[in-house]
Amino acid sequence: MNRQALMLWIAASTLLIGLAPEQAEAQDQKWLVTPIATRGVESYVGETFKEILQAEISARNSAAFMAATGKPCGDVPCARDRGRAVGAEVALFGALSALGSAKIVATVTVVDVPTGSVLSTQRMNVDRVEDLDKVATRMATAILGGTNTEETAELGNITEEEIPPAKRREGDRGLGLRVGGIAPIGGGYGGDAGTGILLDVSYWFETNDFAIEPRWGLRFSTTSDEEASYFEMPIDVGAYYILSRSDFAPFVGGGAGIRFISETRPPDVETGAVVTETSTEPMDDSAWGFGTFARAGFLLFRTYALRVSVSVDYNITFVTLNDEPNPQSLNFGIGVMF
Amino acid sequence: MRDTNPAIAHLALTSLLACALLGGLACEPLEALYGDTCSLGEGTAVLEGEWVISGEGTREGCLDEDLNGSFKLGPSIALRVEQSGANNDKITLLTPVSGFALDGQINGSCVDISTEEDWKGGIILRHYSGVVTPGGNIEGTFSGSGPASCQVDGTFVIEVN
Repeated sequence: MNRQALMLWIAASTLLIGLAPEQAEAQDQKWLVTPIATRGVESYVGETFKEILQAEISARNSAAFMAATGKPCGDVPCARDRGRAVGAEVALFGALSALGSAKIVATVTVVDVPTGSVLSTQRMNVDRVEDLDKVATRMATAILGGTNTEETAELGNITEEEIPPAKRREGDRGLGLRVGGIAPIGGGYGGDAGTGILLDVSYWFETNDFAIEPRWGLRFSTTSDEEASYFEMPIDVGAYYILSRSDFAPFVGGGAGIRFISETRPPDVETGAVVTETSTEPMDDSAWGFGTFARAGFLLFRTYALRVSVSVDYNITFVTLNDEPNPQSLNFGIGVMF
Repeated sequence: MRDTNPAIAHLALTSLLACALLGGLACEPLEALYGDTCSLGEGTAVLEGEWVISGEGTREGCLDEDLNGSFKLGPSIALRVEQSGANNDKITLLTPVSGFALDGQINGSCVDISTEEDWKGGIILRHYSGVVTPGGNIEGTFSGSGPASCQVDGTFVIEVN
C-alpha cells in the first residue's frame, strides 16, 4: 500500500469513528468511580449506590476500577483531575439529592479523562431508597449503551416512581334508603289494585354536579282485595344531573334496568251470549323485563354528610301481563343518603 | 235415585216405625234419605213460560288457561219455553233465539234439557238434569263441553215464570 492510500485509509477510519455515537467504551479501560455526593440522603446510601453502580458497570465490561478516595466531585474538572491522578481513562461522579420528603434525584456524569469531555449524563428520580439498585442497573446499562435511562426500562427494573397511581377526583358515596308510594297509571298493576308502597335500597355516589345510583327496590299493593294486587322488584341504575351545589339542590335524571313484576287482576272472561258463563277465578301473571324511569326532585342538606332527597319518577316496564302491555306508574319517595 | 220402588218404600215404613218406637230419637226427614229425587210418572209438571237459567260451575281442560276454573252461570236471557207432545212432556223454545237451541223432556217432576249455543266459531253444549221444586222452579246439575276443549260441570237453577 503506498503512502497516499494509507493516509486515505487512516482518514476514513477516523471519520467513521468520529460519526459513531459517543459511548463510554469500557473494554480494557481504567475507570474511576468517585464517591457519590449525598444531600438529604444518608451517606451510607451514597456509598451503597456507588458500589452497586460500579458492580453493574463491571458486570457489563472488562474495565479495571481504580480506588477512589477523597470527597465527592461536583463537576467535570474535579472528576477529570481525580482520574488523571490515578491514571484512569474514564471518571464518573454523581449525587443523590433528596427533593422534598418523597423524592430522591440520582445524577451521574461520565467524563473522558484525557479530553475532559462528558461521555454520558444520566438522571433518574425515585420515591424510595429501595429503588436505587434499579437506578444503578439502569444507569450502568445506559452509560455503556450510549442511551438514557428511559430507554433501559424493562420488566424487573421499573421503579415505583415510574408507576404512579392515577390521580382521581374524590366523590361522596354511601348507602341510600328511599320510602314512598306507587300510583299505577292506566290498566297495569292488577287493574284496580290501587296505590302501593315503594322501598328502595341504593348506593349513592355524588360529585359536585352529578350522581350515580344503582338501586334495588320493592313495590307492592296494599289493597286487601285478593282479586287485584301487584308486586314489582326493580334492579336499576340511575344517573342524575344536580343543578345546584347549595343545600337545596334540584336534580333531574333517569335510569334503566331489569324488573320482576307480577299481578293478580279480577276475572273478565265471559263465554256465551244466551246463557253466559263468567269466570270467577282471578287472573295471575308475572314476568321479568326491561324497564326505564325518569326522575326529578331535589336534594336537601347537600353540604352535609347526610343528605335528604324528595323525588318523583315516572316508571315503565316493558312486559305484557294478562294481555295488558307495559305497566306504568308514578312513584314518589323520600330518601336519605348516608 | 229417581225410582221409588217397593223395597225403598218398605225401608221407609220400617224407619218411620222405628222412630216412633224409639220415642223420638232424632230421625232424618224422609226426603233427606234419598236427596233431591224426582218422581216419575206422577203427572207431568207444567213448566211453560219464561225460563232464566243461572248457577255456577267449573271448567277444566281448556287450552286457554284463563277459562279454566270456576265460573258463574247466567243469568241467561229470558227463554220462552213451551210444552208439547202426547203427554205434554216435550220442551222446546216457543220463541227461537238466534244461534241457540234448547230441547228437553219432562217425566213427572224430572227434567232433562239440552242446549247448544254457537260461540265464536265453536259450540257450547250443556245438559241440564234436575227436579221440579215445590216452588215451580227447576234445580239440578249440569255438564257439558265447550268452548273448544273445555269440560264443565256444576249446579243450576231455572226460574220458571
